[in-house]
Amino acid sequence: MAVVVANFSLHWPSDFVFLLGRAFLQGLLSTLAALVLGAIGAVGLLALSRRFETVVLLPIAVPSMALILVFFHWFPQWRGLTAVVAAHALQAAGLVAVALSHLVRERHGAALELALVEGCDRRRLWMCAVLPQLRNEWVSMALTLLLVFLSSFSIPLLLGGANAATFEIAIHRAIRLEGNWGVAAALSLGQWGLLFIIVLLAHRFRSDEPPLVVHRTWSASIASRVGWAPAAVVVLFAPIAMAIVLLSGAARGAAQIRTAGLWVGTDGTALWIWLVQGTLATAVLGALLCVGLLLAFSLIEPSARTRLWVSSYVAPSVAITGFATLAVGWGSMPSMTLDCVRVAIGSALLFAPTIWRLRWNARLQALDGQVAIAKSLGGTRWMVARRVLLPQLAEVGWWSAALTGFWLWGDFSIGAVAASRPYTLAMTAKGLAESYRTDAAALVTVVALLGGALMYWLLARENHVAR
Amino acid sequence: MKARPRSVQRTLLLSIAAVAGLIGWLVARPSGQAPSDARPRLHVLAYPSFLASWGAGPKLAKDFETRENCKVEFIQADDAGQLLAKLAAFPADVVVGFDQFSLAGARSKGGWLDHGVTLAPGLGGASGSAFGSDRSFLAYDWAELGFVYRDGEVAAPASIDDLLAPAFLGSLALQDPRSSTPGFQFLAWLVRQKSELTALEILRRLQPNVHSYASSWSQAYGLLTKGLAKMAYSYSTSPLYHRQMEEDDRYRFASLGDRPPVQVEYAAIAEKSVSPSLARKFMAYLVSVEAQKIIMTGNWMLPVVRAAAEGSDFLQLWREPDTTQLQSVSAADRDRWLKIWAEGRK
Repeated sequence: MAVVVANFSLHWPSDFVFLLGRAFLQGLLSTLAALVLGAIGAVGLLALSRRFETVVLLPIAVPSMALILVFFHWFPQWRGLTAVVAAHALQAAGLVAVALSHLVRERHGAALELALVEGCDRRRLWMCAVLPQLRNEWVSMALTLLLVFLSSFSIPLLLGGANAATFEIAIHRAIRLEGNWGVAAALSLGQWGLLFIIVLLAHRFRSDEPPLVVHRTWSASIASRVGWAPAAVVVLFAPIAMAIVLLSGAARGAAQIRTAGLWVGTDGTALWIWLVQGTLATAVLGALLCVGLLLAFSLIEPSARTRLWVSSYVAPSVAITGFATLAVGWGSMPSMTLDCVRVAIGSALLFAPTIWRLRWNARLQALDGQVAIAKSLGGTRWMVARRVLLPQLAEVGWWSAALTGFWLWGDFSIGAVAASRPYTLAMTAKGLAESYRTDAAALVTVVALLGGALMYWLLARENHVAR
Repeated sequence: MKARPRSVQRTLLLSIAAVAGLIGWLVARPSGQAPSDARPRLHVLAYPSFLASWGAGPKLAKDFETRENCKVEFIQADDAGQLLAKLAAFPADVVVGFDQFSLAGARSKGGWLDHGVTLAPGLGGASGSAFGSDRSFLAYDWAELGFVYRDGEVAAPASIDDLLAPAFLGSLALQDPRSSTPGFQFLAWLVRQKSELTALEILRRLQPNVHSYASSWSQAYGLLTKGLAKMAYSYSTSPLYHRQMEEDDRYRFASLGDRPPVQVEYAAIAEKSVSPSLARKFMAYLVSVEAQKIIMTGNWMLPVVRAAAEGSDFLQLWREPDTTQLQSVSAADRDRWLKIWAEGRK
């Protein structure tokens, strides 16, 4: 590693300006499309039961291979920038719709009721009242989405075609195709700089309104007059399409997998057991490392400024993180153990910031008062950790392990970079999809999702026990 | 929320047990093998279609393991064009899958051992040419390249100019020359046939007819078999696969001109090999008649030992290449030609 590092010098690729323009175009179009679809979807969600929220969140919650397979099956000719934009929009529209519908329900219920009493129709209500009032939220949401889409990896990797649509893909190609660490490092620095600026902007537009309070005025009658159920189709399309493609593909996939010889190797070993073993080992180790990382960070009692920094920290580059994990056991002959350790470490580093933002930070903030009291009463750091923090972080710890485990069952991004060969179900599904064995890929993806769901259920169950 | 200490203890104990169990499991069974498997190991780096369970790799490994009482472990590069980049991060004893163009990069990089195989006679065709092998790089298979299509779907092209016709609009599945060796073969052949300036013009005019530049041969060929593209740049041996394995006689091979591009694949022993003697045995095995037959029907390429093809349909495809068809390329030419390709695609 030292030799490689010592030999490179930072330099931009010759097509940097083209790449920058293309990455921004992709990010902006994806953001715009996700916001438009999300806004329409929110109109639909407001007229429906809140149970639908879980369904429309599926595209963003499950590994991206499920959505990618929809494109491989239904739009096999569609590749390139527009395909990446469409996939990103379908993936994030549900999240936008849920966030918007929450804001409308919980912040503006009373105002909407008043407007309805005054005789305002639905169109004017949305165009003149709801959307303008959410200006800051729109901008904040747009910047957050732009952040995510600019650093996207899995979708551009499989749907992007020959031109890199993100810096991540360009970094991946610089190292994979050319072994050019100088270009990769320069691109990575450039990407971090860009993302950092966007994070700062996103904070500037963050809403200063108090925590959400559910208005009692929100009722079924308001819902039916503000919302319009058919509009939910735009955010229900992706989860329904995913379910159809995965289930129908899986049914046909068994035969395709037999032809491909995936079940049994030439030496008679059952290959699928080997794949499940690799996936399970990576998921468990990755989940433990991710929770360990977050727990260690929490127990050092980080200052408010440090927490803010971590909260606004953008997850590191998948490609750079993946390649950095190669430092573990550098020079050793490859083995599944080494692959598993590298992928688990890389995934923990990638997922930890996201999980911190999702729940961990809020949980730790809620314990600040107890920690302060315990210390004023003479509690040592060890006592505070053992008696206050650990017991009350156990719940969020199990949940984090469950979520990381679920994601790792279906994620192939770090493995595509850090593993010596495909040894997990998700990496196998990626290989099958790339060679257009899409039914077999669907079956393997379904098995991965079921395995992930089972692991989530088992660990989330421990969460309740801990509680 | 009031937590019970028992729950915390339970959480910690479960976590410790999970970590211990996992580490024990991984250490005891590193690759699905029994802990008692103390056989010497040979690490072979190759490309996906060679390593696929239906490819030649697993069959060769099984046979070699039986002969030498060893264990062959594979490392997979995303495509043959990425072997060197993969080798930089994942050490291997043997690298399989260079062609005459990627060979230039491998040679200039250095770090290869003598494979120890005697190159003649018998290795190679009637002339014993050994297909450009030297003391470090050993040819193990070869085939002509051209366009594979299904009979009745498109007319067979006879030259590159035919491919520019509107009849082929959006129907050609080619490979990205940056990542795929057949992709670079096409580009190099085009430049050498037509000159750099003309090649750029042809690439521009060809662009509407290109369905996609896939990052690997298997992706491009998947587009053809799936019916998404009408032609794929592939090997003269590809129709044989469909005829023999799928009993599908519709696939045809169109050769562009009298001197079509020829891809020869080479294997080499990395200097950092931890089992060089086992690696040399593997190299010798690769060009044995038994292994050549496995490669012929597993990798669907022509063997370099003509005797292995005797009595099979493969022999009908044997048109021994001359030295000009095996020419390599300098790093400077390679970079310039890739720029031409990038320019032609804009």
